[in-house]
Amino acid sequence: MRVGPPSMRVLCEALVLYVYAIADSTPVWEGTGLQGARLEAVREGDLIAVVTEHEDLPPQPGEEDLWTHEGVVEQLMDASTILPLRFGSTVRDRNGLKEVLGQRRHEFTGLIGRLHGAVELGVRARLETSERPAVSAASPASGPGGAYLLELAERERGAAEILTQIHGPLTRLARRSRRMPGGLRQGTFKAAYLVDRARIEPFRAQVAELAAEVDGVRITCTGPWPPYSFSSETN
Amino acid sequence: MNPGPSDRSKQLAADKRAIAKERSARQRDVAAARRERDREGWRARRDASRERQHAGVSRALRDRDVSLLDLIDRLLDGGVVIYGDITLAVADVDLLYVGLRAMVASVETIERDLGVSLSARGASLDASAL
Repeated sequence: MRVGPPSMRVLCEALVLYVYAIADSTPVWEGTGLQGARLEAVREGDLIAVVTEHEDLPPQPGEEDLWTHEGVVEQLMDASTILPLRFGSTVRDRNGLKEVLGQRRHEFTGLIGRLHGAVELGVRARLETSERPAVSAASPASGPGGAYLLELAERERGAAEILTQIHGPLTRLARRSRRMPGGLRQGTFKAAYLVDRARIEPFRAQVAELAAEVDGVRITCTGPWPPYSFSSETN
Repeated sequence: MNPGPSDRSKQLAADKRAIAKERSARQRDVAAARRERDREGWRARRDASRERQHAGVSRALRDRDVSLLDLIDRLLDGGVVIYGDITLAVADVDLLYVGLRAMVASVETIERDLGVSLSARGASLDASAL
């Protein structure tokens, strides 16, 4: 889901608060946020949002800005349980932010509650045989077109099986998991797992084991990430 | 010949001046040392803060290409979304996608062609390497 339309005009006219994360206890930080701005806490009840204040934000944010956002959120999650915000989340002012925190207190508290002591790990798997099957004239009954489709279907079934072989054991080591639709290419499996901190190493070991066991698949594990994929009630 | 009383008082005054001069020089040194210490402390704090600030990032940057794919997935599609009229996008997120798409596409190509498999924080688990 995308955040609303660009509002550059508004950004240039007034101060905005850029929001990095919401925590249920005072998070610890050093250093600065986007554009070197000072990090501040805005509290409403038992929820605390970490923000920076800006006169205007870069109209064309780039890779470095993504890493800055990520750096701030990673640092916060070392000491507290946090809900990371989507990149680019801003509010008009402190009162606007407090209003959001107040209105959605129940939702945020509930989400934070199920994230205590856990991190997100990302897994990508890719079938190494991703080329299309060669057209063969093997089956005279259905013709070359039919054989092609059969082989394609066969491959898809095989791919689904292989991906289940990976997802199953990893899910058993995770508190929650989430398959993410499509990669950039077909034959790509993408999923996020919410894993207890104590289980990070067993999880990685399991990935390594699967990588060695399952033929024809290349597996990558990244993280620990802030729980970006587990920060809404739908997942 | 002993110096007369007036000579002695002159001498005393000269000594006092010398002592005062020495003291103020010492104070200047102490102040300068303190300033230098403060500066060093500030530098150390700044460096520590920068290092800490980027600790997670630099670990990820080692394998930044594939980490970037996962970073984009998460930062632009995950996380809490604040709805409503008080929400403003930093910029058109679609534009950001467009800007990063070329890079991402090239990463996927690198992965495919070289069989490189990377991960954030140096925790690389690669089937081809195992």
